[in-house]
Amino acid sequence: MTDNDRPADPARQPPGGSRAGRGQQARFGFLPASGRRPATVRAAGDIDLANAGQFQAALDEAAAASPAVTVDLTAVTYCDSAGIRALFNAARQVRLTIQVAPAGSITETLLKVSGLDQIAAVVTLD
Amino acid sequence: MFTADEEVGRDLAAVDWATTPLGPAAAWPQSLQTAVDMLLSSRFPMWLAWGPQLTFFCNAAYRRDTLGRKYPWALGRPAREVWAEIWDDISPRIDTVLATGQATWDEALLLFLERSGYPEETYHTFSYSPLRDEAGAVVGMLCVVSEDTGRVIGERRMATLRDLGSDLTAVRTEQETLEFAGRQLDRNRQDLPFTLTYLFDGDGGTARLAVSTGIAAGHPAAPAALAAGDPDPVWPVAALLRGETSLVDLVGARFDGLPAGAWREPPVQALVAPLAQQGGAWYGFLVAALNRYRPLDEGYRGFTSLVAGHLAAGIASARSYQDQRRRAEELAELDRAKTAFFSNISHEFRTPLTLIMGPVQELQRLLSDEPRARGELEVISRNALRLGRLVNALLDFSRIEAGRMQASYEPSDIAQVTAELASVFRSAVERAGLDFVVDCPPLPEPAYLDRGMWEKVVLNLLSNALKFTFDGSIRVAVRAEGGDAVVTVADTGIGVPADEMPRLFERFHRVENTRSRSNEGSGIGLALVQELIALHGGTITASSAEDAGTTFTIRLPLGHAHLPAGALVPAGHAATVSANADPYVQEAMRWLPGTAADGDDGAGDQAPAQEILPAGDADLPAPASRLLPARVLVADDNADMREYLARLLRGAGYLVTTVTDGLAALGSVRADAPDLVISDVMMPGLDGLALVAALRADARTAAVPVLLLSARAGQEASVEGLHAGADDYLVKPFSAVEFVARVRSNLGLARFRNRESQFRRTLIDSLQEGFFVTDSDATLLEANHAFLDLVGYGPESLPFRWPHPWVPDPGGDLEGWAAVAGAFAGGKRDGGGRYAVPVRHRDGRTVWLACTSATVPSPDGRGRLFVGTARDVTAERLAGQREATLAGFAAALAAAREISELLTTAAREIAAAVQASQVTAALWSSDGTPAITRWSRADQDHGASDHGASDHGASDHGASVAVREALEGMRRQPAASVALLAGDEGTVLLAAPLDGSGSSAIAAELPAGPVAAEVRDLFTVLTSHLAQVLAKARDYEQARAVALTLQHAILAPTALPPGFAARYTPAVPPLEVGGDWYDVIPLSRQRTGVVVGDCVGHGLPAAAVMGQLRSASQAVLLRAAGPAEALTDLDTFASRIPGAECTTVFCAIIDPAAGTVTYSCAGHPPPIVVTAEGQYGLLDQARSVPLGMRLPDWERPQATATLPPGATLLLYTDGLVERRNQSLDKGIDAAAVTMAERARDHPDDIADHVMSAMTPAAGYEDDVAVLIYRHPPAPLTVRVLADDPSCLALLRARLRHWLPTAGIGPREGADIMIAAGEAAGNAYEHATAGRPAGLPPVQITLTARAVSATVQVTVTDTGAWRPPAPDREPPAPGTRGHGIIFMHALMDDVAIDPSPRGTTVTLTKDLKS
Repeated sequence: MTDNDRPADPARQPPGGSRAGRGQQARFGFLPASGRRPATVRAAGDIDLANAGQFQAALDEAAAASPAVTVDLTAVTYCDSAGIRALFNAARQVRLTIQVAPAGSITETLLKVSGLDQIAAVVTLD
Repeated sequence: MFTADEEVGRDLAAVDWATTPLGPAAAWPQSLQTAVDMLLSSRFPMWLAWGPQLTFFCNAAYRRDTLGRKYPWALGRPAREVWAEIWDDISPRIDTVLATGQATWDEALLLFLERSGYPEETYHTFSYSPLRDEAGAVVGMLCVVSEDTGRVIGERRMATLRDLGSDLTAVRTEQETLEFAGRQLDRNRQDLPFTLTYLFDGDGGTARLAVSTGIAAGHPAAPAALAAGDPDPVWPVAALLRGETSLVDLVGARFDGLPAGAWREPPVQALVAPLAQQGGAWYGFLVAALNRYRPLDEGYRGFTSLVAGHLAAGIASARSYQDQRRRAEELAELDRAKTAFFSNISHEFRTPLTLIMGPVQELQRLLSDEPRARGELEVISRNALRLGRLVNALLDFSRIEAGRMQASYEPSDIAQVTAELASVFRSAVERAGLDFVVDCPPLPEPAYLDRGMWEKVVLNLLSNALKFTFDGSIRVAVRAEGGDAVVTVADTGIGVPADEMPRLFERFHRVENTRSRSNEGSGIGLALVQELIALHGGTITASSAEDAGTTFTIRLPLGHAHLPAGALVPAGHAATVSANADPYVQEAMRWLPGTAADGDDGAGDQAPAQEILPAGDADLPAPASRLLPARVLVADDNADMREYLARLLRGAGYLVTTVTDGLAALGSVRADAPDLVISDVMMPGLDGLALVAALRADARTAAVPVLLLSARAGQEASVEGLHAGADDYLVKPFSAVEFVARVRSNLGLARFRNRESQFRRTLIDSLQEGFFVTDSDATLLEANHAFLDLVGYGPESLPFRWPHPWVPDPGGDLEGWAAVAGAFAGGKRDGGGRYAVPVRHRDGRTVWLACTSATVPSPDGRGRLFVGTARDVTAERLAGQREATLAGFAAALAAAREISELLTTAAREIAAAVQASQVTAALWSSDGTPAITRWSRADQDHGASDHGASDHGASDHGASVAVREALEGMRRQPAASVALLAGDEGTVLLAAPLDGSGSSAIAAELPAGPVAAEVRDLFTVLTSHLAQVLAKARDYEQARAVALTLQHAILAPTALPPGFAARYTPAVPPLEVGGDWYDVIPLSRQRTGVVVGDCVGHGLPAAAVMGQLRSASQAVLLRAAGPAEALTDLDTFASRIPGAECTTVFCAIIDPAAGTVTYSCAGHPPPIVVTAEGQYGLLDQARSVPLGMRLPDWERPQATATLPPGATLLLYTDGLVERRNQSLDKGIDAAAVTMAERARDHPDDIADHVMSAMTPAAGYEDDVAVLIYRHPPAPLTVRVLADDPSCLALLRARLRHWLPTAGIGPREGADIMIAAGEAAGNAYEHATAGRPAGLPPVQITLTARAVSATVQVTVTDTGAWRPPAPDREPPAPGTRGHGIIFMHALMDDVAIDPSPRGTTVTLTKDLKS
């Protein structure tokens, strides 16, 4: 079984499985602090080389606006070391709280293995 | 060397082999090297011994399971040293292997291993096989071991628990229960070297030894009694009284010489556990000496606590059973005695009374001139009179108790009625020289009284007062007080001693040694008074001072709100004092001096006739003069009676012939017909009724008049007699006057026809049974008093035209109307018949009448008349309805599947049966919290049930404080008791306990007003039945919980190898735990054995068989060449285990490398294979019979099927696919389709999906085991051009999709995604960084393959590798280089192979099992 697909050819992409379906196109958003809600960066989908720069930019924007930033990674389906690097950079500038999906998820594993959970507060959400 | 296992290999390498007989490892022969390699690579526990000293080697599995703390010391040592403690057991086996080259096999061999620092009871199944050197000589041995300790001990404990729970039906008393339990416990002296069961005394102060096992009586550790206050008790009684379980070290003199049970050494510890009672108290405690060779782990503790639980449950059940049985026996005995007593009264009392009274009257007349004889006769007469009154009073009681005392309450001026009753006594009181004060001013409101009953109340009290008062006065007063009428009867008599007051109203209780006007007294009068007042909704109290007097105070509510509406009647006749008052006065008169012997025609003569004879007409005209004396034939088997009757008749001038039985009478009449036949009903041979029938059947004798005599007072009896054709009927006792009068009238009737109508009037009115005559238009022409009483109308309204006023209104009760109308129509058509019809009594209640009618020609010769009799069968009818209700109730309860449903159903049904507005049941758990189940009419169709709601108020959960208090109060009452309590807002609560142990109760809320006896009876019957059902359900739920726990304990904790998923579900309650199992057994050469089986039967026995078959299947699969051989071995095994035959088993060996599954099937449904593409098929070859059914010469077949890459295999038990009214094929097909829907999902997801999609609407009716295996899919290969970073997303997407198809779960999948993603990211960077524009883009290839328990992912690029800079290794957090760290952290192996043409990263991960 050999595939020689190009990413631009969605018609031949395999269907998503129920457990580990295809990652979402990444999206990032910054919500300034408001009321009881802290300044929040929300990320969704796969974070990798292709979009780590956008992620970094969103984090920088938040860090510039607030001394404490919450990053919501609960909708992140994949994150590589470039994404982790962006979080390390942000953690050096502001007080960082990271929300992740429960134990065993990709993001939770990464935060542990990278040691990011030592310098940022990690909140596990269901 | 030693590379097959890293850790054990390292320790083996560290052994200084040169000092062993084997020499340096490098110089070992190839045979030894191969043996050690094989040993280390096996995942099954093994050890081997080689060379002259049998030098010891083992693998990691053996180290983990068996060797324990002896590792790594044991490596390289002589086996004799390693296993010194069991060498005597194992060396003969090893010698055999070495000497003969034959392998040995031992199953579940008991070995005491010292691997945890103490000698431990362990069981191992193992085989010793020879190991040979290059020359073929046996130089060593290999031992393959599986430890069975958990199974053997688990099964042993399970057997004890099972035995404890068996044979409950044969057990009766508490002592028998405990002795039975003791015999079971005594059979397991391994886990319970000795046990002592102590029970606390009633006051909890002392614990007494009830049963012991394994220890002799009188041992200092087993004292017969333990005082709670003992400062140094043998067993910690104080802690036990707090409900605590304690561990006791058995040290000190009192524990010297303890018995050792099944072991060599006595126990060193004992667990002492309380025997918990429902509701938080303790029956006693269990001392369980512990097996010193096993740790006191959770399983051991659990076992002892289950044993204690069993004992406690047994005691509870026995006590409750005893209680119930004792009460039931008492009640039944009482009932029998009462029934027998009352039914005997007629025979035993009335016949002799007649024989006393008659002659006495005769003598009194004859001897009226002899004062002495007259005095004696007066005594006889008076006592016979008293006996008659006593009989009548007892009959009143029996009616009240049976709820058949039909009261009719009419509005009455209680002051006037009472004053008039009192006035009857005035002359007697004044003659006794006492003042008589009657102070009865009119009250503002009428009281509702049953006149007859009230009369008895007042007259009894007055008679009582007169009897015990010698000076002073008697005072009767009536007042109104707070809505009650208060009637007091006060005397200045001798009073009642204080210590007698509490028993004053007790039946048959008499205050002894008191001065009174008469020694007569049955002790029944005041008890009857109390009952009669209670029927009026009132109370009576007494206050008394000795020598000062006694005052009785009656309080009756005014108005009628407290009385059943059905029993109210309009104000009736003016006469307020009936003739029944006379006997009281006359009896009292006799107590007074100078009156007892007054005159011949005084009270002494009149009273007996009034008192003990049924209503009769003593004033019939004297016989007319006649020409010849009439001839009378007397037939009676009682000689006294015969002679007495003959004497009376002769005295009256008749000619008498006597015979002793019916046949003689018949013969005599046929020979010479007399003018009258007088016959007893009960006679040997031909009885009175048959005699009448025989006479009437013969034309010659048909006209002879017959007078029947009987001791049977029942209405049926007289009707039977008259139906048979008798002319008259006389019930014993009768007076001489009455008898002679009847004879005279019958003779007169026969001789003088003009007397007919008068006779008939007399006759039918003397009947206690209703009698009526209608014409053919159903107009009721004539009826006797008994009939009119039944319907509540007076004779003045006769005749009644159809429809009679008591016929139910067709508008309100069409059914009742139709029944009555149908009865008349049917009677007219058929010339009579028997019917049971409902009629509406004038007071509104419904009365059921059993009517018998016959047709006779009209006397005037025009048309026909219908004569009928009617009997009140309302009570029987209600009893019949009660039976029907109970049957419906039992059926409804039988449908309930668990306790909460049972109680909800019961509450609803009871509410419907007793017309309750709500019914609440409570079950108390051992911590004292009640679970409340409530059904309320207000909630209509849905039963609101909430458990554990004890802390909530009435507003939340409906059970009000009154209801809760009623339940709390009743729970500790003896079984089968019922109480009437006050509810909220005037409602009435009927409450009962549901067992005798205080853990449950039920209460029904009824509308205000008295509760009918029928309702109360019905409630008793229903709650008793519920109690029985509940007790059974509780036993059942407990047994089911034990079986389920065991089933889970046997199946549960095994971790499955990668690619497997399994599920087990028990059948829904009340269906039982079954014997399904599954197993996955790792075999050599990466192969895996799989087994799914289903034992016959349910419950604990099936679970036990399952456990044994499961471990046997493990052993045989490890030894056998293939599944067919394994099943053949299991056949043998199954034939030795009772209950194992007919088990169905599917057994297979999966070889992932070859992509095949080899299988054999013993009567089991065929497994399903689904390809990754969703096509499915069955493993339906190699089928044969279930275990133990094989014929001797017949071989089990075996087949092999190919598993395509990514295919999924489903093994299951029939519960998954078997449905009623549906073929098995259809079910299998449905399961296959369900699976195919998820062909690429992870096995766990498939398992969940199949189990839930296949669940029937009502849950599984049988237990279900499923086992799923995912065959590794084809390797994944993805190739992309690194022209844009988005290519990485594609690589990951394909990998993400592939992982579950390889059976890789989400956690490990996440690890692989991260590592592979980093490798791909690196590849992209290498491929693009610094690449001159214009060159074609670099290609990145990702491959993934799953082999057995390993996943390997490679990422290859065609770019240049850029190693991380040396000064950045390891990288500081937050810098580049994380990718490599992630790979190493998450993968088991990372290999990076850079080359000028590109770089290959190989990531390997071992999947955990």
